[in-house]
Amino acid sequence: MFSFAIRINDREFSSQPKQSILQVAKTNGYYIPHVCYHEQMGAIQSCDTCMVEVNGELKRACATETEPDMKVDSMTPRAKDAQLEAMQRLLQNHELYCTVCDNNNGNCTLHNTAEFLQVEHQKYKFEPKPYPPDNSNPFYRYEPDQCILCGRCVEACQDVQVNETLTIDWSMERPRVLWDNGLPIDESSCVSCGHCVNVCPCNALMEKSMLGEAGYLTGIPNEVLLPMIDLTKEVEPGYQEIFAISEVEAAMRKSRIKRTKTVCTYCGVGCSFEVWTKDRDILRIQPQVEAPVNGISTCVKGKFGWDFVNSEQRLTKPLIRQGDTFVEATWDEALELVADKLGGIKKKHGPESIGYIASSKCSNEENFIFQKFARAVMGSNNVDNCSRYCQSPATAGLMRTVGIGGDAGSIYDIAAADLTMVIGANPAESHPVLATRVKRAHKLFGQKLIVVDLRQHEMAVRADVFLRPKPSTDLIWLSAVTKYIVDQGWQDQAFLENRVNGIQEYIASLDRYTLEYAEKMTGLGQQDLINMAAMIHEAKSVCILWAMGITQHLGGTDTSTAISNLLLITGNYGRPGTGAYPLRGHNNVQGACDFGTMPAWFPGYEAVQDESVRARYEKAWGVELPGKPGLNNHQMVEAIDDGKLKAMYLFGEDMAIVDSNINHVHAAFEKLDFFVVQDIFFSKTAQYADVVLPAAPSLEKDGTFTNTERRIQRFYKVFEPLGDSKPDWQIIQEVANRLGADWNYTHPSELMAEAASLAPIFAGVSYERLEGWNSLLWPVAPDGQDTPLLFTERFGFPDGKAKLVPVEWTPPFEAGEQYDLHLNNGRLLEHFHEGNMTYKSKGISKKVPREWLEVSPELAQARAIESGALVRLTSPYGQVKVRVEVTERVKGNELYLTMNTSDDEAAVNYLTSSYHDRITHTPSYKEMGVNMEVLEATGEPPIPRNNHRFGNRVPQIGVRVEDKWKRSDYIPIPELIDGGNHSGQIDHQH
Amino acid sequence: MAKSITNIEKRLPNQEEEDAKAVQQLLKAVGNQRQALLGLLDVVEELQKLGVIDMMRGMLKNSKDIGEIAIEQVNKPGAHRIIKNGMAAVQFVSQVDPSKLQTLLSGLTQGMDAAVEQEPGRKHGGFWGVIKTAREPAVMSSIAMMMRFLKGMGNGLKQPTR
Repeated sequence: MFSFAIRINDREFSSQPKQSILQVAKTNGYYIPHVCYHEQMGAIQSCDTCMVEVNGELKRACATETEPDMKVDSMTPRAKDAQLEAMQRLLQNHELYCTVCDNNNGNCTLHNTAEFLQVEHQKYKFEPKPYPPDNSNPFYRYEPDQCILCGRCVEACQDVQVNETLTIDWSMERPRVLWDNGLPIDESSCVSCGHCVNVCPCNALMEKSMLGEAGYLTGIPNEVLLPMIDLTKEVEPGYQEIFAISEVEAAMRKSRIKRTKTVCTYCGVGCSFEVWTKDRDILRIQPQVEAPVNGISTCVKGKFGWDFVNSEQRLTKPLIRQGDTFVEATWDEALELVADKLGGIKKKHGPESIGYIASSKCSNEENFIFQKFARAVMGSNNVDNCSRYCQSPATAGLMRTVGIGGDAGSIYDIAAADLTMVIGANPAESHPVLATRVKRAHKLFGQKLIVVDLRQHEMAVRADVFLRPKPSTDLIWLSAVTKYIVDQGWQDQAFLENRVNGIQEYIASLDRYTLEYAEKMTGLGQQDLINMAAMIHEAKSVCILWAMGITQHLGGTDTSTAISNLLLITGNYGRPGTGAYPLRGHNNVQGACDFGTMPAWFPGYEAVQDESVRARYEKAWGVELPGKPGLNNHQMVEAIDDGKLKAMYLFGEDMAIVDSNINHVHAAFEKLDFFVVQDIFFSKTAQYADVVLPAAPSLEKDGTFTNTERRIQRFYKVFEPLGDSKPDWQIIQEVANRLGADWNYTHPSELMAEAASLAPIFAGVSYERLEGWNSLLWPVAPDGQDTPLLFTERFGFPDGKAKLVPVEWTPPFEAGEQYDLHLNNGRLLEHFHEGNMTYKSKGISKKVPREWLEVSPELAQARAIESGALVRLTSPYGQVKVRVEVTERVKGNELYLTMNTSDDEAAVNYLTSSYHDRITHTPSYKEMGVNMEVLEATGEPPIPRNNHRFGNRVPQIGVRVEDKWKRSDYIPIPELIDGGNHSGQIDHQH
Repeated sequence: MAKSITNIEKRLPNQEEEDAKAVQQLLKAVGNQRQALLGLLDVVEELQKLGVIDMMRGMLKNSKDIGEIAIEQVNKPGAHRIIKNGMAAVQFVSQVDPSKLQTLLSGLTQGMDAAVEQEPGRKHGGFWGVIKTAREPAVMSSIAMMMRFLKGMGNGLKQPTR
């Protein structure tokens, strides 16, 4: 790519091809006024404030591509007149009362641009729009009178989030932003993701938590405020003086409103953003373009789901079980008891008699110190985390084929792929911001999308191809498609010869997976399989995304392996836009595994059996370490049952809800001699504890999380820990010290430095390199070079070659003939997991108050029930009582129970079994048969009708600014400035 | 054997402990800022004597009502004019070059002195006397200055007002 020079106002700048004038100016730190242009969304062309003279003609800087030797003037009287005219038109739609505006925080695009343009007076009188403000959504409001109709919100909704709710109807006499073509926000398809609010350049769309809170004067009651605004306008000396005052006020707010960078604590996508706080109040979550994963994107949980931090239900004091009551205790009492009991049990029954469950919600440093505690202080490898419940099979499948158990690339590769396949995953709800990148690529850039799932979720609706196989048969169709590709000679021969081992043996193993066999077993048509193979063959790059729909089966590891095999056969590894992407569920489930809370692995996936590795840690820690892999979660429960495991120390994990077959798990917990639970809430698991230790969530400590991309990001302390609660790493250190550790970590950065010094894949990781928005994707070389895309040169085996691994299909668990319906289960958008954090948000609870059971229209008709019916589901392991939602998302005898509850009557894991993936022991949550007994045929539907699921989207590309230009009252700015001489020369590029 | 239980017994003396802790924190802060606080207390005492504190309390407790009254008073055409004129005057003053104003004002002062001062023994000289006086250099430069002023003002008036 050749760069060339352009001149802006007699300064020379270097430009890349295809850059707009405004982009060149911005990348060089040179300011040209603009309002609607947004770095992440590009040119919208609705505001006209970026008018410049280009070789003498007035053009929009945002939409005019640079050319060599171009001469641009943004400061000539003509250009300035044009910019000012554009601003005057915006101000016709916006009342300036900056000092008493909650958006006056120094970053108001409209304020700053108007000030720069030295707007003195209003040329066109402000005219209120004939619409009242819309306050119906629980989280944000729309004030039409302040809306300048720039269209940023519409662009963000249509083409970044791709929820396709917002539009501007340019044919209305007074246009405004519309939700579902004119419904109240709360009754529309709006998912409350916050994109529109995040990009609004003024105060038209604002978080309700900001209103009346952000400014010094914005809390003034309306009776005083409105006359004050009138007064200001009546006597206004000119806007420049008002701007001067509002600037002072904005500067004063800086010391009052703290802005702290954090990383989201919900799913594994790893969004980062600023938290704006005033004392302990969270005013807003403000993402920034600099955020490496999400930019301006958020979902409802990350944007609005933080009430749990200040919840009255937070644990603030240690609790000790006394008889049938928990009694509040001091830290000294609690820690003394923990040390005494754990020490005693270790002495009496040996180190193997204690189990340690780590947390995928907690930081890398906390997982590191916990495994160090288990191994170095307590002498046990019995340490595991909740990846055992979700992604261990994916990790195992990747480790045996490509050698590294992480996503092959980054979110940018997913967005860049020619073809994306989503198998057994519902990213639009479970990984919402990652899903937006797929939806955008599919909508705007021609990315092909194949979805294979039991449920017709949002991604399935959007897909080019959507297929519904019989449950638990994915390995068969994956292998059949692979075989067909090989049979056609479509495999990437050069890639296979140079980079892959085990080709012949693997291809021979495919023999049985003929199209006929696949059709019979999976229920998918042969032509569908052929089409899918052809699409994969024709695509220049393929990403495959999967999640629990693949992993939570008896053959979860093998099916994950089959996915990786397919990618290897077609050469879809090691290039941009390719690779395997198991989507991690929790914010730090990747990091928990990476930093060693696994029974067989030290940090950085080095085996505990490996003597040289052990020697390295033994030297560093000055102790002898156990060389035998310990028990995993599942085996710990069995070991309690067998009387071998006497005590457990668990933090940040509600195992009593999220493990499968929880009746069995509860019985095991009751048998423990001693149980320590460390959490921010009194969880279901805590009910079985002997000591409960109050921990602090991410906003109350420093640390790092690693997201699904292997990206390590720092989060910073926003608040002091609530009450007497403490960060988990401090608690673990205090327990360890009472058991003889003598550690003195004063900050998590010291733990990271220790991990980096010991685990080669983190060699170059340091808090300095992770400052602010910086991030690192492991492996990180000692010089700090990270690896966004894996396998460009080598795979993760000693000879650098990948392995094709033959796999066989494992038939799923069958509950028996009397259990005639298949039970599927999973997450939903609004609540995270069982909802212990998200139910603390009133707004989220209003939108989704409870769990529900999805029943197909066919089944509903056969059983004569409708939405709202109450049914009892019974499996061989337990029963639940839940309300029905009839929906076409499920088909036939397929049921789907959402998991957002810890209610004893409704939690899905009362139904699931203890059967598990044969390799990793991940429970086969997705394999259960139930029968359904109707208790009430009708009733109140479990999902309120104002939920987005009942909205009607209005898809279109962008804000359709051409329709604005076609309005009879729109006079092109050059025409107005030059009296018509230049009409027809404006830049109608759209 | 540990059955699932949900009873939590909060320790009753908690509130007292919390209070004691808060008082401890306060005392520590007070100790650190002893000098500044003593000075402040002195000021407070004076304000109390003057009745300012009572007045402030009254105003703060009724701030909404007072705010409404105040804004109502200020939001009248007369008040608008005062504010506008005040700002216009301030703006005028802000635009004047201090050295020029200094020259003009010192001239004005001397002129005023001369105007009220009766020169002893000098009678009104009649029309010719005025003409004669006008030819004095000091008077001529005053008249020339006024002419220039009128010219400038005329130019100013010709420009459209904002």
